[in-house]
Amino acid sequence: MIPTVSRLGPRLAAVLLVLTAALILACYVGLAAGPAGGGFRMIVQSLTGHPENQLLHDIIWHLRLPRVLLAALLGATLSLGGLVFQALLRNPLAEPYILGVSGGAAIGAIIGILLGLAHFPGIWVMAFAGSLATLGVLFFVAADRSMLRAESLLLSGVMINAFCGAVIMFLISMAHDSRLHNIIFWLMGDLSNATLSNVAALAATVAPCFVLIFARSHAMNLLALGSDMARSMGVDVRAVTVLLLIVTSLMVSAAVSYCGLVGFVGLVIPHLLRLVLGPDHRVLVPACILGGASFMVLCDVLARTLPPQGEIPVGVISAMIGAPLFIYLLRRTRKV
Amino acid sequence: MAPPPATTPAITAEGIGHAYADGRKVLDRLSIEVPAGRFFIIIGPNGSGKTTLLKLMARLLTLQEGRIAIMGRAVSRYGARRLARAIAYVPQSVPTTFAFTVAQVVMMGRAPHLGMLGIEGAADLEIGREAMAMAGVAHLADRRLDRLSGGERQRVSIARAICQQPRIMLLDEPTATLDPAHQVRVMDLMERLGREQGLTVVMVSHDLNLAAMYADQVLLLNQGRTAGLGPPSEVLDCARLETVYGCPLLVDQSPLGNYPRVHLVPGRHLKP
Repeated sequence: MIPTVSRLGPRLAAVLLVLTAALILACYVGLAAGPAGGGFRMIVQSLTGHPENQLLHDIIWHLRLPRVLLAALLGATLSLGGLVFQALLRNPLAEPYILGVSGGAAIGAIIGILLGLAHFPGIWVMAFAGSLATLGVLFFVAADRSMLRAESLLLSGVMINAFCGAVIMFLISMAHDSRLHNIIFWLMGDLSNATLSNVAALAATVAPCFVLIFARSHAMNLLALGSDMARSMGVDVRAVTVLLLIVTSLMVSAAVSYCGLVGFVGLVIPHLLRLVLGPDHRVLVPACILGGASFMVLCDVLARTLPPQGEIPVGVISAMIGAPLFIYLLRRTRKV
Repeated sequence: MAPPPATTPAITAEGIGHAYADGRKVLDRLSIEVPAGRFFIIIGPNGSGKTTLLKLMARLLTLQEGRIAIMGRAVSRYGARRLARAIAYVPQSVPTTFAFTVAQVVMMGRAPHLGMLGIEGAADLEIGREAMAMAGVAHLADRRLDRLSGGERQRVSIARAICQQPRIMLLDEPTATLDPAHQVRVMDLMERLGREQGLTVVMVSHDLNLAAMYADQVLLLNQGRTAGLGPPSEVLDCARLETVYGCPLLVDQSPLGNYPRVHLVPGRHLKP
């Protein structure tokens, strides 16, 4: 009689199994793709430390692996960020990029780059400050009740994003030297300077965030019924909301400070997974982590292999997939 | 037939006041006592403060003035989960942004009894099944909440509140969207839960006749103050109701028993 809730354990296990397999497959494609080639045996040999081909071994370890891992962390973080925003704002169109939170982080990060700060913690702290500031503005503009209305929230987000865009342009116009190229590439969503130490630092930042968010996944279910309902069922709404917003901007700004602006992942992945798996956040949180990671790894493969020479920034790929879907979703919500 | 008098009232409110941000008073030094295990119905014109009173009792609004105690303990001294085990709240409507099924929503009622991830045991599922059966939504268990009618959603909301197993249930116009059969079913259910499990029911309603037939006590609110408090036969007095509602009414006795019956009077029946 209660099939959808009675089997959380097995259901979660099945979802984790399938999506982990998808992620492993995506990572394999990510490791194998590239002009130097690479077969299954070669990759396994290389990863286990018994390479036959030293050059390919170096390419896999120093170029492809960091990049695949960075893309996975980025995708996981942005998808989960989208999911949390959608739950807290009770709006399936909310996403850090669309709401301007990523833009705020970008402003902070660019200021950090211009000041010549170190990547970690300098630029990251600036990015975090920037995302918190935009979050504050967003809440101030679309306060409380009107927050529930898709239009007012999205409109505020668009305005904040436009403002962030202007500030970013201003900052770029102030930069003249080699930093200019760095900023522009980074802005478009750039994974090309991934190193294993970057990956480790980002992983150390976002992994605890994932755990904290999963621990609040049932509270996110209750919040979906409205804050009064959640409170009447024993959720400390203010504490949970503040915790989730801060944790989410922390991990999103960490990802932005390493990888630049990559949009719409937080929209595409949670939406697709919600369609397939239903709205239970206890399933969706781990599913978004794994699904978002797989999606971004594959986007990065496209970014690297589509053009005959050089590469497309991965943010371009994700936006080309995500923006049309966003418009489709917006149209569909209007009709209901 | 009446439940035994309990020593501690379920809810005590003393001198509570509440004002909107613009300074307009919604509740003005209101004092009431809801005895445990009774059916307590709040009536009054639009804007008389009924929902505000209910939300203050559920601590969904912060108390600005006065004191509210739940089962003898100040409402502010409850932890969030402990309060949720004592009180369940059924709002006028529930948002349906995400496509939860009826069973999922009902089982959320177990949240204050479960761990952080809300993983239900067999006993919890049994409680959920029973709650759905009581509210008459068992056949809807796998349907999505956003695809149900307003009345069906209301019953799901009631099933969720029952699943929460509270000592006190606060309901905000639960019968407003229901057809007559389901109105009676919901009212009967609340009466039965009171009789069998000692549940205290506090309900806001615009239906004076349901209040007359089911309430142990009626609170008539007018502009944030008590305009009447007591058994329906006392409070539902024609002159008093006409003054508060500002319209002509006719009150006689119900053929079903010793309850007042309130009739609305169409304008064409009035002398010019």
